Amino acid sequence: MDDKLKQVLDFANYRQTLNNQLQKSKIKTEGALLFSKNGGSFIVGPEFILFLDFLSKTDLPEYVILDKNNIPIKIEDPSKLLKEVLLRYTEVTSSYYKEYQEIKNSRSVKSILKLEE
Amino acid sequence: MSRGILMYAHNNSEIDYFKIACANSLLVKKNLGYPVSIVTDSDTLAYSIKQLTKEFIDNCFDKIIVKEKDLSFKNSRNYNDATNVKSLQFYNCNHWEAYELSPYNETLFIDSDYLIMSNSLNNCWGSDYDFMIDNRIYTVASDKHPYVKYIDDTGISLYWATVIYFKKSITAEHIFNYVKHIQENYRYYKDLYSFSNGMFRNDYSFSVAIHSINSLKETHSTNIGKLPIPGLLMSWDTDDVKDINEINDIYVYGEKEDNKGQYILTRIKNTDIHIMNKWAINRISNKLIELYE
Repeated sequence: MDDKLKQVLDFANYRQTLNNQLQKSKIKTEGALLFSKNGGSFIVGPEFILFLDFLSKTDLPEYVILDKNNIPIKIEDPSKLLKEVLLRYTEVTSSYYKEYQEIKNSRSVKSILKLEE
Repeated sequence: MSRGILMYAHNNSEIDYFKIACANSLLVKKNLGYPVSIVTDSDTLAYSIKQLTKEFIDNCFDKIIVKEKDLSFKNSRNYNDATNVKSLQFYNCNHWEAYELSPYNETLFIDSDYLIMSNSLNNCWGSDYDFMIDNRIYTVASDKHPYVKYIDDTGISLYWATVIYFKKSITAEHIFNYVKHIQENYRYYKDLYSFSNGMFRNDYSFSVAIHSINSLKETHSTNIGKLPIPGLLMSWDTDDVKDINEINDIYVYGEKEDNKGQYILTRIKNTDIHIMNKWAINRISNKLIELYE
């Protein structure tokens, strides 16, 4: 095979592995940012965090929020939930950042997959 | 409210489903922290006690529920081991009984080869839904986001019976009764919904049951939800497992979708995965047991 063609094919294989691994990491992160509470399922993100922060500063007789399936869920203490959710968000995004950088900065298939030489 | 995981395992002449279930039960205990019960037949159980010891099996499972095989049920499938193919008996006709047999109020009913390598399914417990099942999948060798497959080009979406959550409830009871009815009239439903091949599949039965209970619409139901995960990660039977790296960390060869016969190596870490290549999972079950015991 022509050397240049082999290089192109090796590069294509490396790119495919890179994209595939990044996608797996992304989907894993999306899963880790799903948070269940009181029968509801919530997507942990800036919107949810800010909304909980807002609620925790209000003084309402009860707190009912809609989960990702639009099911109404009663929350006893939004400030306590906020702490849990914020912790989850920071843990998951930190882990994703680390993994993302490791994959993105890898220059070979072996390095992407952390295979031993 | 009791909670637990339910699996089925009926061995055939070459695939040791029970050992696979034992390995997976150890993964479940490590990652989800809930008890596991199993439905099996007496032949499978006797063989497994001889091979694995009763002490080990009792350690894996909270309850062992023995249901004898219906010998009149003949269902063979092609078992692929990457490029090799063999036709073997596939006994899967009793999943409709899971509702009655489960000893738990809340049950995660999973395939024994759906390896639990994360705690994401713990999001199911206490759900407002009585029944959850998913139609979104993604694969080892593709960078596609989770997508939905359809039973037929013009047909209903395919729900995967790989992972089902249910509560002891009227909704769940109806669904499982309907699945039983579909199974008993499989040829009729196969023609009506244009199932692709003759082999009996629980996926198809559950898909039709969900469609029927949702008033024959692809619609949102208040009692039936999707699992609280992005989708089910599938490794097809043309894929292979290269190695187990460490706890919740494996390497899988995935066959490229646009280039059959060519493979891409993927590292799967802290993500649940359905390994359809039974030979591959058979090959790694001893190592899984060693690692997770």
